[in-house]
Amino acid sequence: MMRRLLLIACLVSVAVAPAAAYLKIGFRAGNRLVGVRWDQRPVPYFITNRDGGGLTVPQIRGAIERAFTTWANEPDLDLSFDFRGFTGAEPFDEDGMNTLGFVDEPELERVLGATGFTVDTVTGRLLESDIFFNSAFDWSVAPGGDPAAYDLESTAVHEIGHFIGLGHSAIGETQLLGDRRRVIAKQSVMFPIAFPQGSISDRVLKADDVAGAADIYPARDYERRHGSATGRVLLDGRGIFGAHVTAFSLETGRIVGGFTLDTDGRFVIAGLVPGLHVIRVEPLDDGDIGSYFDDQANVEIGFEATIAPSLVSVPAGGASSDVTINVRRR
Amino acid sequence: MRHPAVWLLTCALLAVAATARAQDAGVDRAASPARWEAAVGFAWFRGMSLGDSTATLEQPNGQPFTLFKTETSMGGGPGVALTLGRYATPRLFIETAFAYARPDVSTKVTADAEEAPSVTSTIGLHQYVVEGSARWHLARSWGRFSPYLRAGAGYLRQLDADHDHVEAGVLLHAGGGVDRVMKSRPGARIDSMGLRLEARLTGRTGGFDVEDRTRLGGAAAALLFLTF
Repeated sequence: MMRRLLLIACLVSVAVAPAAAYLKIGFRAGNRLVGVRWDQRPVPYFITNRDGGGLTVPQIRGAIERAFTTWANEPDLDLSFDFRGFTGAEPFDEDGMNTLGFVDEPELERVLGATGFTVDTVTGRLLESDIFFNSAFDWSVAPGGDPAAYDLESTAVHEIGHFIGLGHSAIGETQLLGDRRRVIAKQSVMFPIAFPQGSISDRVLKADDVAGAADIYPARDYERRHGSATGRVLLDGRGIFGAHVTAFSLETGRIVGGFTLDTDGRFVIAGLVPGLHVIRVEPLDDGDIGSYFDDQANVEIGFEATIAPSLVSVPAGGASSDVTINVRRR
Repeated sequence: MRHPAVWLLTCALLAVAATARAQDAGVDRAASPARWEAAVGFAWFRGMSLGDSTATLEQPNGQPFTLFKTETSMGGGPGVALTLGRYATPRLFIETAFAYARPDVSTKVTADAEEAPSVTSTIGLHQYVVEGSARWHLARSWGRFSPYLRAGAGYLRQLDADHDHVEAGVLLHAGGGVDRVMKSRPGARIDSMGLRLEARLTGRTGGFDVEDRTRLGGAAAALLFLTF
């Protein structure tokens, strides 16, 4: 018997596929953890035939198509999408169609958008994914952005990242203002907190976004041209779970992140350009831990940001030697 | 990044100068029957900067936000060199050389946005250089020392300590040195034996480097040479 389960990307993110340390959206099918992945190409989608957020349907379609094209045109990824038409259906209707559109959700006062999945929890098959944008906010499709509105294309690029299976990235710095976090800077579209109105930064994928997506949809030869950094993070001599680990390429300046995903403190950061990297570890304290891990209680955040004592040499098509990083309790 | 191997090669090249023997001994080089030379010895290469880089995030206004800064350099150190060559003319010597060294690459990480303690991260390299060069022995000598000039080019191959990753590069070098014949037995199987001291400047492109720039470096070498 088929059972269906709706997962909301922003609320449910499960670490699966520990081959690399990116967080991917996954679910449990029987005894298995299954990562969200589209097998068919192109992946079809529909757009709700209704204005929203101050935008007309043609404006919405244009921005969404550009966002899909951003992912599809990334040469390191094997992805393609196909707009199949407008629909009267709403996002999150369980209709077998991948639907994107505006929904008025004023009670979700901090949610610009969200992505949901319908999956077969018996077979592990992905049945449907929908994206909604919250029309309670003001939106823009202006080429240079609008300082009084959120950029739909930027938000769509982020949500499509969830649509293809990516969880959140932690490559960003935030500041706590009252009970809200303000993002100071980031280097990943998949960071969970958006830039303020007017920013169009997230129209462009960053190295971390591509590395994460390529872990699911690698283009031909991608794995031969890239490598991995591996190691462990220890606190008081014991491995820690949920530490945010980044690899910085000295030659290219690219930053790709991941997490320690077991209690031995092991991490694998894949999708790195070959060459020397600086490895940096920091606690996951720049966002709501719940936007990264279901298992929040075991995420260790009581340590200082630390740079690895060894440079890591990443080979093409393989993994580096392990680096061990001992962090200090704070 | 690039380097040490280059210096080593240079040293190797120095060794080739069999001609010096003739000069040291006050013998007309053209009259010497020795045409081949082999040398082995040690070199000391000077460390060099491999460039700076900054890990940045993007601020909402598009300006960069510094996550941390890095300064990367390759340490100086010793290496070994082997050379083999032959006189093309009484004063012109053509040689090939091989050199090996184990330099460290170090990256100083500072100015961390979350106040991570500054640290110097290191990794060891294996460095190999194969090069070819020409040596021109000057007509005059300084007492028992025979001076020469040299120039050449080489191939640089650098691997990290675990041989995970390889970087290749090209070297150009120019320098000079002196030969001092210690023992000379014209007509014997080993025609002469001597000591060579050399210094060189090197330009390197490729190899491990943060900025992919041409780097200038230097090296000095001492080699034992045999002519036959």
